[in-house]
Amino acid sequence: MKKLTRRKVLKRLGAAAALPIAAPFLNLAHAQGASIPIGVALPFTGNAGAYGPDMAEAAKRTAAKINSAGGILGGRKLELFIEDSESSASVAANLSQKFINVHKCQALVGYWGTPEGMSSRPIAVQNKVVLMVSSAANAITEGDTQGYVWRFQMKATDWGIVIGRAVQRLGFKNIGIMGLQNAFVLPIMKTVEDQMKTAGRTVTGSLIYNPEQPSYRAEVERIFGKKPEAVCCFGLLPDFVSIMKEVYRGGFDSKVIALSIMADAEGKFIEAVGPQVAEGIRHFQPMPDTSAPGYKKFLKLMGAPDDRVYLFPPNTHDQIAVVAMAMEKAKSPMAVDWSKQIIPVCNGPGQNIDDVVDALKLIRAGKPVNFSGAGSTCDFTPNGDQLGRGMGHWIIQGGKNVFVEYAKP
Amino acid sequence: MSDILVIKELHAGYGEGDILKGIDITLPAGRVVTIIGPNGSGKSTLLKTLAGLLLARRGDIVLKEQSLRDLSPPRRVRAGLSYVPQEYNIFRNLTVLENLKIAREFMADRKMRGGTAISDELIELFPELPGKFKARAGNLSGGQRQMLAFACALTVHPEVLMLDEPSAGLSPKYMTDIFDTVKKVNARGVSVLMVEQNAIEALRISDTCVVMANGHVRLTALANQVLEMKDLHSLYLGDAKEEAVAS
Amino acid sequence: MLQTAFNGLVTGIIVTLPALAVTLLFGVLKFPNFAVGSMMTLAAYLVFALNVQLGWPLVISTAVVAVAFGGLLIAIDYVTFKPLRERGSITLMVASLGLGFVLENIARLAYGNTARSFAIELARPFRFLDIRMNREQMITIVVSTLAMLAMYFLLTRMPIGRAMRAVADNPALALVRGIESPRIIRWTWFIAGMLLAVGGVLIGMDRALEPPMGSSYLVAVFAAAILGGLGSPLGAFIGALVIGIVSELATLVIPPNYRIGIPLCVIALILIFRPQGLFGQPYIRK
Repeated sequence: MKKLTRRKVLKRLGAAAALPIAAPFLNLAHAQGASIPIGVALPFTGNAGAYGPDMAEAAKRTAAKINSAGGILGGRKLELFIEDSESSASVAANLSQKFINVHKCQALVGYWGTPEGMSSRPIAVQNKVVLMVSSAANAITEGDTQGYVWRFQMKATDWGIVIGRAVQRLGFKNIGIMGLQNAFVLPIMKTVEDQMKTAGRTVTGSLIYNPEQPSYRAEVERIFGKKPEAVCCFGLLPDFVSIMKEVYRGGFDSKVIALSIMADAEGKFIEAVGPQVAEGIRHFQPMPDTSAPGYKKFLKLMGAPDDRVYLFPPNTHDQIAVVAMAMEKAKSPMAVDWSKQIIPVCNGPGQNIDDVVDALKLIRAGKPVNFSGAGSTCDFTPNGDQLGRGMGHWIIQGGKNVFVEYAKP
Repeated sequence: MSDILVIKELHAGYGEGDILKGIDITLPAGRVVTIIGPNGSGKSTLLKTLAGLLLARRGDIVLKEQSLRDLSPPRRVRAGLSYVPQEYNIFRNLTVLENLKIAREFMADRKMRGGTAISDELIELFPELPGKFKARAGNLSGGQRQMLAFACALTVHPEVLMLDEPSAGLSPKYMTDIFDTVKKVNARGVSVLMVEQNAIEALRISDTCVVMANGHVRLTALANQVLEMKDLHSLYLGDAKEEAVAS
Repeated sequence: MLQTAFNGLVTGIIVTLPALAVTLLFGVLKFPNFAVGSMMTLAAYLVFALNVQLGWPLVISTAVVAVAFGGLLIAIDYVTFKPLRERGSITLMVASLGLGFVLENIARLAYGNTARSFAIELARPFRFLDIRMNREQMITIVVSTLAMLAMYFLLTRMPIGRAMRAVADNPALALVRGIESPRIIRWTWFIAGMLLAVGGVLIGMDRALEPPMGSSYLVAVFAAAILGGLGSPLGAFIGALVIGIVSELATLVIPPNYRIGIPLCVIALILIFRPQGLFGQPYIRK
């Protein structure tokens, strides 16, 4: 992996050295061979810092695959500018400005998390540049995005549908719900609550807590004190660690249902509370359909073993692939043109295809395609919400995350 | 007789402009010197400057041949110069006994620290205090506070004791007690530099009287001479004529 | 109700140590130190390093860090607050805000944003008079009570403690009573450092270790210290218990996520009706 990076850097250095020599002879900016810049904002530090490196690797390998097959728009290569969003809204916004104004990018991809997506959305729309995010909050695609904002993730409401259905199927008759005050959690809470009520189940209590509270004793007392069969808790890792310690030490026995970013977080939850406290917690997370051929192809591209579960990198792969296909189909690197071709290449109608290079060949031949990606079937609503991605469901047993099932909304 | 405290050409003040504009006072060992003068003449400022709470801008303060000019207030106490401020001169949140203890606990000199916080000598001087040891000092009456402050200043066995208006706001009974105590303390060999408004009572127990006005020393004379002067009250009311007492 | 009151008592007791540190520092240095929250965070992470990364027992790690942290605060004072001492309390307060920001981010830089815990086995609760109690709560109550008794002994029976009270009461008089304030200031930082280190560990045991853990207590800590009267150690203790119990009991009538407002209301009411607090005294301005 190191070697590849170094080679890339050398290549880029070489290109930079060649530029001044070539410049007098060729007007590169408008030439057929000029590269196509893509801004990639990923979390390498901050609370989502664990997710950045694999997503960056997926982006590089996808671009390399397209480039080695001849690039797009008559031989132009994709050039990635990968930067650290620091899991921060303001850093992501600054990066978006830099991608657009300095690197002249027409595509901004990556953007893990609601804060990063929300802060960059107005910048993208204003500059008429496409923004592709992996954020879940409903608000990301609400309102008029003019076709420039695309979500490569399940919408928060859909998370609620899948979790609510699972809770019913597990047979819980009454549940308590608690959630963090946060644009991404609130729609999940509301959906689960509504579903339980329409299914005739009881919601014994529901409350919202604040981030960074000194303690969660009163909240735990209020929700778990009513002894519901299960409690759905939606938030982030730090508050969930405090809450579960309180639940265990308070002697409460309700089953706990959470999100994987809280109860797994790359193993950090079990590490923080120990296996006893974590025992029996069920957690959910949108994930690719690992049986889909597109996902299997992606594993090969990454050089990963067959049973490896990547949550977010497949989305990054799909983002780069969709950018390339839409540009090819629009015959233009400008977002004003190719943003309109995203739905045609993703939703079809056309030939079902899961390999980006094959899809590009068909598009060049003027044939319609219906692309299915590594992270999902890559189908979209007109407003940019992704369809066709499902959720994984795990249970913690003996300090290990055990996979239960995969379900789509 | 040698001079224990010599104040030379002392200038000090707050902000711009000096309040003390060149003060020269000499305290002979074993004597009582009382400073009188109208309000605003710089009497209290002088004592604060001597104690080190205010920086001397010019001039010098010499205690037993040692210059105090560059010493911090605690070091001046250790050098033997003890001070009783006029107000807020006790720690209100501490008990009487704690006030007495704290006054000597941070003395580097073993002689000052040795023995008990309250010696027989102090009990003899301040017979009211032992009954109040456990009381919060803030709850004492004005006279008792003054006695406590006095006792605290003495517990370090100073060479020179500076008192800032010890009788201010006290009932006549306490006033008499205070001056009696000053006299007794002086009889034990402590030199006293005192600022007072009750000039007649103070001068009765003093050796020398210094009259200050407007930041200057207007007059230095023997206390009994000043007491005999007809226009004594005008001296500390501020309209003293220098030539009238030129002796 | 009884359970909620007990929970409030525990919350209050956790606040006592930092509230005492705030009040001691305010008494001697005459400025509100808003860095106390981050100081607790940093101390808790130092204990985490010894306890989890080096595998030392929690008690020993805490004791070692408490002493070292006292020394560290003296050093921090030397480089941050000492040069500003003559500039007045507003300057010092602003400096403490900046310091808090720096310290919290040092913790963040070293350990990231994820939640961590000390290496202690969590235990199920036991019941007493139908109230659920757990081992950490017992440890918190015992440790805080012992620390309070030690502080009481220090402040009333030891020269350095008396001197701290004396400087808090009347700094100018303390000087003319021979008390060197730089020495008392160093001792105050040292003792505050020990209190904050232990307080940080108790908070870390109660919840998870994360960079904002200490600052999340800041409002409650200051409410306790102001309620009790800034500068009054007994006041800080009682103020902390009142704040803890009142905020938890308030959740019986208001949504729990609004209880953060309770300490703020207490601060406002106290500042309007009794600015010196329950046990404080009006501040001498001379």
